[in-house]
Amino acid sequence: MPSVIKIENLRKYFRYGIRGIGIQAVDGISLEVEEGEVFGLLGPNGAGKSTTIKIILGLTRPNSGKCLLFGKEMARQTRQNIGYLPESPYFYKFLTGFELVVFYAKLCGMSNDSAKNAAMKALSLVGLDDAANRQIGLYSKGMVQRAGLAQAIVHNPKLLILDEPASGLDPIGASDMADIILRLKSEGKTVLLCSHMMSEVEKLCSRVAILSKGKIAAIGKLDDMLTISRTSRIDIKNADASQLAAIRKYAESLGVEVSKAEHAKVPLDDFFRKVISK
Amino acid sequence: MKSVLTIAANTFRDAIRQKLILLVALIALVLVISSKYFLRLDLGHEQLRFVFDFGSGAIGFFGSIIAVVSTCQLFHSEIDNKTIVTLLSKPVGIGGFAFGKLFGESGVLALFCAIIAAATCAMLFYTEASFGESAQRLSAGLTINYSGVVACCFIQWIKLCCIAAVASAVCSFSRSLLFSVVISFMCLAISLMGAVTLGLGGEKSNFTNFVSTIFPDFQIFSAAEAFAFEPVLPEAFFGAAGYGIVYAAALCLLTAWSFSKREF
Ligand SMILES: Nc1ncnc2c1ncn2[C@@H]1O[C@H](COP(=O)(O)OP(=O)(O)O)[C@@H](O)[C@H]1O
Ligand SMILES: [Mg+2]
Repeated sequence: MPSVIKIENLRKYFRYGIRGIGIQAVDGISLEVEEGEVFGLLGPNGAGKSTTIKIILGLTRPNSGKCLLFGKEMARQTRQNIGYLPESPYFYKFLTGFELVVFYAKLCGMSNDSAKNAAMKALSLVGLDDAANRQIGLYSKGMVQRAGLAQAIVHNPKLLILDEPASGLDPIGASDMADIILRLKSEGKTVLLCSHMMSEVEKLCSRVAILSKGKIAAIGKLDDMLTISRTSRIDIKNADASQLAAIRKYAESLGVEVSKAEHAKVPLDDFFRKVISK
Repeated sequence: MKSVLTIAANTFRDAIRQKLILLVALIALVLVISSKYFLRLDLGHEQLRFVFDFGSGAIGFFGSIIAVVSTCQLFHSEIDNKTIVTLLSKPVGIGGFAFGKLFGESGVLALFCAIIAAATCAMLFYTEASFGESAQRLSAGLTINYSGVVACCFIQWIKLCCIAAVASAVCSFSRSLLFSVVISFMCLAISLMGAVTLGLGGEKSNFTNFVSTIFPDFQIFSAAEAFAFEPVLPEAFFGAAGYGIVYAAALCLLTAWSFSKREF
């Protein structure tokens, strides 16, 4: 079983102007994405995430390096199996959401009827069924992002490449987006997710690569990366101050060092979502 | 092939929703319809020729504007808005993209030509009818060949498609809309001047030969203007149509090739 995406030692140099000064946007990246996983590509702005993705899609040519999709070189038919959501997508303003998704479905070779069915299904999956007949020009940023996701999944591809799917979305929208991605994963799709939103990635990805200045700074299983060595955490409910002191004393009597004890807190975005949904 | 048609249909829809194109087309239509009132002199049967020249001129002039501006607009909005990135991530080649865009544009131009041609025919019919009793005398020697008018408009359409193909080739390497429009109009001006020189009986030189190889040779198309009042000459008709189609196809291939060298 070949990896879904396999890139080896990819390099891309952008040259500006006549003097030939430029920037090494991608500087020797190698990674593999296996079938059925959600792989995260992390990094600050300008790290080379979008450039890497465009090379994978064959939209940009690398200066050197190899890129295989499903074990083969990129060909036009390969695109049948790939859904791509570009960074801050922009679509034909004069089309309605439904017309837009039907258009892309037809480009993937679907007949008129099956394109319409698939478009309706994709739009309802991303939660746009109400706005399907409104023009894209009237959509909010989050709705455009959802339409972009619908367009990426309409032809039922095996591999999804999502470039900052949650950028510009509010926390509710971002968590909806995360739910949709989890659902796609459960359908057996492979996802390459590119993001600079850590909480989103933490929830979704099993493996990540962190890029910095075109190089891979870290790569591996998220669990392995984030585990603090030789440290455990115990959550305790309904304990008062004296009980906590006793527990601490007992732990120390076992020869264990208690490095931190404090009131547990919910993450802010969980709290935000709870307040809003009331 | 199917994706080419899908893109063409989408392009067509895009173009006819652009206000500027509608405005230009509307002005052309109004001018043609009012052509009769532009003429205060009584030219007798020459009036028919005047009405026809007016309609044919409107297709040539306003059609060229639409061909250049809307082609450049269509290509540049696709590139500048990066919708082309999503498009190319689907199983569509860059050739499919270029041909689809140009087919869509040629559809817009066909619609424009059809409307103006219909208006011109209507005006010719109306003008001839308004000669009334003296029609026999006035139209002596000048009978309207309506199928010839249609044939002429068809050739004009092919010519506009060539202009659009030139504009698309310019867009394939240009980085800004304004630059594309200006350069495309310059190409158009060179073609027009070549045709004017030859039309005035200028000698063919190496230079004019060179110009008419690179830029569309409008002289070939202008033969069709005689069709309105004379029988259609098959050689001239098919010669012009064939030349235009080959020229546009060649430029479309050039456009696709030039786009394939670009990154988005
Ligand atoms: N088409 C391009 N031409 C020139 N430079 C580019 C181009 N695309 C990206 N870059 C440069 O490459 C670097 C990486 O960009 P990008 O891959 O978009 O970063 P990220 O998506 O990680 O924020 C940036 O410094 C950017 O300026
Ligand atoms: Mg990016």
